[in-house]
Amino acid sequence: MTRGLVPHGMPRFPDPGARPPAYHPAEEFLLDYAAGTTSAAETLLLATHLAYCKSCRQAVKAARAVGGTLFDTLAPSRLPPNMLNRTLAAIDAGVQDEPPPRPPLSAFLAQNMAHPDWKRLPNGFRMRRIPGQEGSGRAWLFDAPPGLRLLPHRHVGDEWTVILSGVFHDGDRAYQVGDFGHREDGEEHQPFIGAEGRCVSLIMVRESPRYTTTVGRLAAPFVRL
Amino acid sequence: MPEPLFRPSPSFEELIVAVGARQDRSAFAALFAHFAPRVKAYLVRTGSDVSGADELTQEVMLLVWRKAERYDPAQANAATWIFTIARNKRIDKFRRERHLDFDPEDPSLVPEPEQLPDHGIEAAQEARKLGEAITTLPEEQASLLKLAFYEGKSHSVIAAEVGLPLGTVKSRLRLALARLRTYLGDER
Repeated sequence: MTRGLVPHGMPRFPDPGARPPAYHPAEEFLLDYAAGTTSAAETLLLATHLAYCKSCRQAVKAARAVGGTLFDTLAPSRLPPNMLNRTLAAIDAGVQDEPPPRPPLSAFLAQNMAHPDWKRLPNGFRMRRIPGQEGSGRAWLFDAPPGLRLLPHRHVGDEWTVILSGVFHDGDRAYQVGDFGHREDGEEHQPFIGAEGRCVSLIMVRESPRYTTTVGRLAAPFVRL
Repeated sequence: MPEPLFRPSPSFEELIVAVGARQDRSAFAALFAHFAPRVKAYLVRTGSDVSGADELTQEVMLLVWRKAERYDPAQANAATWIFTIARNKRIDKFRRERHLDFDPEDPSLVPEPEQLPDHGIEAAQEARKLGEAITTLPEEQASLLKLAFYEGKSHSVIAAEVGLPLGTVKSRLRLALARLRTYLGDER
C-alpha cells in the first residue's frame, strides 16, 4: 500500500484520504504554538501535524482566542502623540516593509524531499537535516524502506515524530500518516518500519540519541543526528 | 450574561471590515486608539525596548490596514486577529522562527473554513464569554496563561522561571484550557 506517496516519493500533503490522526501533541505544546513561543524545529513538526489534524487546529484556534482576549485586557502603553498621523502618512506613502512571502509548508517539504543533499545508508535508509534553524531542537526528514528496524537507542531530551507516509511502529503503537509521536528524555526504544511501504517522517531531537548496542555504537558516527 | 461596560458601536470587527472594504480612515483611527497602545504594551512585555516598540507598533498597525481586506469576522474577533498579527511581527523581528522558511499561517494548512463547534456564536460574542471565563480561573492557572501570552514564554521556560515542576505547569495549563473549552461548549 502506498497511499500518501506519489511516484517521485513526496508524500501527498496533506493527504486528503488520510484518516484523522490518532496521536496528538500534548496541549501545552499547542498552547506554546498559539502563543508563538515554539522554536523553528518545534514549529515545523507542530505545523505539519496541524495540517492533518482538525481537532488540534481547533485547539490552537481556541488557545489563540484566549491570547486575543488576554491581549485585549493589557493595560495600554502610552504612544507618542503624533503616531496615528505618522502611520496614516506611511499608508499614503505606500511604505512596503513586508518581507517577501514565504512558501507554504507543502512546498517547503516538497523542496526538501527533492533536494539532492541526503545522507544515504546502504540499507536503503536516507535522512536529511532541515537546514537553517535555530533555537531548541533539530529537525530531520527520515525516509526508510519497508521492514527496516532502527538501531536501539536512548533519547537525550525529548523526541517528536510526525509521519508523512507509511507506518512507523514504536513499542505497541503504530503511527500512521499525520500522527504525532513523542518520546520523553531517557526513554529507550527500537522503532521499525511497517511492511506497507516506505515511511517518510519528520523527526525532532534535542540532542543526538545514545545507541545502546555494540552495533549501534559502531554505526553511530554514520547516523549521528 | 452581563453586558460589558464598554461596547463600541460599530464593533471593532465592523471597523476592520470598513477599513478593508473602503479604506475608511475614521474606522482605522478608532481601531488605532484602542489597539495600538495594547500592541505596544504586548511588544514591551515580550522584550522590545520602548523606542523599538513604537516603530514595531506602527508596522503592526500598517499590517492591520493592509490585511483588513482579508479579515473574516467569523474566524476571529478583532482582538484575536490583531493579537495574531502582533505575535507574528514579533516573531519575525526577533528570533526563533527567523530562519523558518515556510509560512505557518499559510491557508493551505487549513484546508476547510472552520468555526468552533457552537456555530451560532459570533467570534465577538465568543470573546466576551471567554473573557468572562478567564476571570473565573483560579489565579494559579490564570497567571500561567498570562505569562504565556503577555510575556511570550513557553511552558518549559515558565516552569524554570517560576520554580514549579514542569509537570505542575503542564497540568495547570491543561486544566485551564479544559475549563475554558467547557465554557465555550467545545468538548475536544
